Amino acid sequence: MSRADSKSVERGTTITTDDLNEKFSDLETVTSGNIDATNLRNEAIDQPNLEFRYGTGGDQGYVLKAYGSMDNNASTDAQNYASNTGPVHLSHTGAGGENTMDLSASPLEVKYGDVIRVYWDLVVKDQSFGDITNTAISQTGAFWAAWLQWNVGGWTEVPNTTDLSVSRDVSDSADTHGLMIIPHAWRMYTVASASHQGLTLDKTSFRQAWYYKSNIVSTITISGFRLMISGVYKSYQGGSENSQLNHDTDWDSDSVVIAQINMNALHMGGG
Amino acid sequence: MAYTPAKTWVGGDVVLATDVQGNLDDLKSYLSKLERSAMKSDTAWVETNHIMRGDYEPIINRAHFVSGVFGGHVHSYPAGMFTYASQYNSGVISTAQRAHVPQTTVDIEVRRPMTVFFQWWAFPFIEDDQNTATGGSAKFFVYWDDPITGTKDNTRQQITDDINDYDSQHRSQQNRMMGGFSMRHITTAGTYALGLSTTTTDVAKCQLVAWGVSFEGFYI
Repeated sequence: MSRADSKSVERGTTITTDDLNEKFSDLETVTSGNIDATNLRNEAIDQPNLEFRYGTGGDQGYVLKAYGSMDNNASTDAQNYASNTGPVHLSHTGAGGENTMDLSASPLEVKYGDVIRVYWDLVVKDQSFGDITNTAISQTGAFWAAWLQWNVGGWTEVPNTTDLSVSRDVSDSADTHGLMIIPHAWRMYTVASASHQGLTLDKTSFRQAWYYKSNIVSTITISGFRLMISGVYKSYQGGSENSQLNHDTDWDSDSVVIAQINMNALHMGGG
Repeated sequence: MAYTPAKTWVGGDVVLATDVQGNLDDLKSYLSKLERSAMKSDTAWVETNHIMRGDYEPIINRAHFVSGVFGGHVHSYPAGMFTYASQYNSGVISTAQRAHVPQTTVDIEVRRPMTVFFQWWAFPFIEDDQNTATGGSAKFFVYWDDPITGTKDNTRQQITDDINDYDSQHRSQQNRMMGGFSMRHITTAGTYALGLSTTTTDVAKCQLVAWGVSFEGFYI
């Protein structure tokens, strides 16, 4: 085991520049491939031994390498997202809010073994379903889907998620990590009114998370996250399409109203 | 890469405290982000007992470690011991007021600046106050430090009173799962409170059948 032996300055003696330099240069010599318990002294490693940034950035760069958050500040604002227009970015904001988690000022540099954790919640404020006699609303299991994209030189789906702009076979669960399912309006028969009524979600919150451990040797530079939404989907068609998410045109006039969106991301060191 | 001191003195130099301190700080920085190439791989250079052991507080389920703090509470279903959030047990009679949701607060002892990530979920059930003229609601928020001044309005989640007197059409809106997240960087050491606050109006009561809160705090 290597050991750093250096002279200690004693009270009443004269110190030379060589003595002082040696207090550091001996460590320089020893640490050339050799850091050991002696260098760290034979005592517990505690917080005073650890580097700390006094800024307000938050990330200390080791366990938590970086973090980000966004809030569209739209607890009372709402936005319609019509179906069958293809996936759209949940982009509305309230005053001072954001519509993406913008990390461009300090992108996440994700190295091999690092872990990304993204959490989000949103509030469905209302839904519309058009004509109650429409056959679409009589079908159970219709839903909207929301998923995550990241900006890695351009917006694209995060790993283990797929673009749901068209009907897709999702029998492979690797396509649906972090997929948020939002039930669409449905129809029920009420005895009191002797008629069908439509039920919609009102001020209902949903939350979801996505995790990713990088197995890519090269560094991934992430400058943002955002949410996509699309619908309306049927979940079940029977036969060979049991694992299919069918983006259906039956709900042409339907929409979902999203209000508040919050998103948080943690970049954990792993490599 | 081996550690290299920023300052090397030569004859005639004045030894400044800032230079010495700078070298020491650089060394600390170097050691805290040690590269694999700098470490001796064939012999353990640090042993388990070299790491400051964690400190676990069982009553409040909170653990302190060198790298950070984590903890939380879960409240599942013990009959008759629901957590209530209503104007009758909180004194809240206005949507402008906020009160603690009992037991959901966690205290975090922050010994140095820390980034905290908070998660919560709750399964509520709201009861009608038989007032069909005015619809009420129970709203829940994340708050930091003080429910009155520290409530984060944009974390609001809510369930609504059924003014239709238990019309089954609306029942699904009375007992759905809630949950969310909040993140904060704390720069000043001290003890901080973090939890759920509520405001309820025009409902008989809102009971949380089950709930959970948890937090992770990162020092490094």
